[in-house]
Amino acid sequence: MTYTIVLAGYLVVVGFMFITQLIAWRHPHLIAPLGEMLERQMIERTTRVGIIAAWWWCGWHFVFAPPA
Amino acid sequence: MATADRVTPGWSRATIIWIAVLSLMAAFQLWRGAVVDGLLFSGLVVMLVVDRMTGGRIVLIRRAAQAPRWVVLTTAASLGLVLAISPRHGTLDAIAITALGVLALVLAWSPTGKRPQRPAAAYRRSAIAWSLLGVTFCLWEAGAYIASVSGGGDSFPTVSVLLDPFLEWPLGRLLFTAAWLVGGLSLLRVWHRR
Repeated sequence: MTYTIVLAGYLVVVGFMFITQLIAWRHPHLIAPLGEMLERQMIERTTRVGIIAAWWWCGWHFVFAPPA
Repeated sequence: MATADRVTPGWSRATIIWIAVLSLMAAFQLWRGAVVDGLLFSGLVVMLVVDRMTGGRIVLIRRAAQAPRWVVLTTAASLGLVLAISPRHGTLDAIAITALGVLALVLAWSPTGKRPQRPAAAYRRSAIAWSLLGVTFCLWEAGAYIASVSGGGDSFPTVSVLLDPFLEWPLGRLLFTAAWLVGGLSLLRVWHRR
């Protein structure tokens, strides 16, 4: 039961992410799509490197890093 | 090359927030015993703080950031293939993911051209929405992790635990690596290069 609730929590957030992106694609002048927003944030070096670091860590953590 | 990017000195709100996020990430990784992850994030924070304090004067390799698209794509695809098909958690895996990290850092260090233009309010709404969703997701996962190591065990799965069976499946690992690489190359705007 607990497992299902935790899993459902992830899926609910991912569902909201999907809906947000759908709205952004349909109304980009109301809410910018994720990719464009990130590109805008990446104007500054610190944010650019920070976002790229977060992306790289996902690969490091999920594909390579051995289980703790 | 035309550019709207800034590498000027300064402590904007976005800079402070991102350094705080990376610091928090470093602290969390060290707390949970992932020493290598913690040290990587700590090193990155130190480098970014020094870069800001010295007015953006840290220069990595200037010319590498100008590498043509085919060179970047071929290098990334080759390393991605090694990452996808070599034994998981092995030495080749470590070399490939490290090389991809260095490549990404070098490419991200320099400006990469003009950015899209939409109303400022659209970007602000998007940033708020995605920040809220991202923080919620991270808090949920952190909660699951803390509960799992505090006696809850397998009843509180983290994302790693949920993804692991998929990543142990060779095709799943290949698909994940490909999607991850395409995402990173898009962030680096590699498709806009000549």
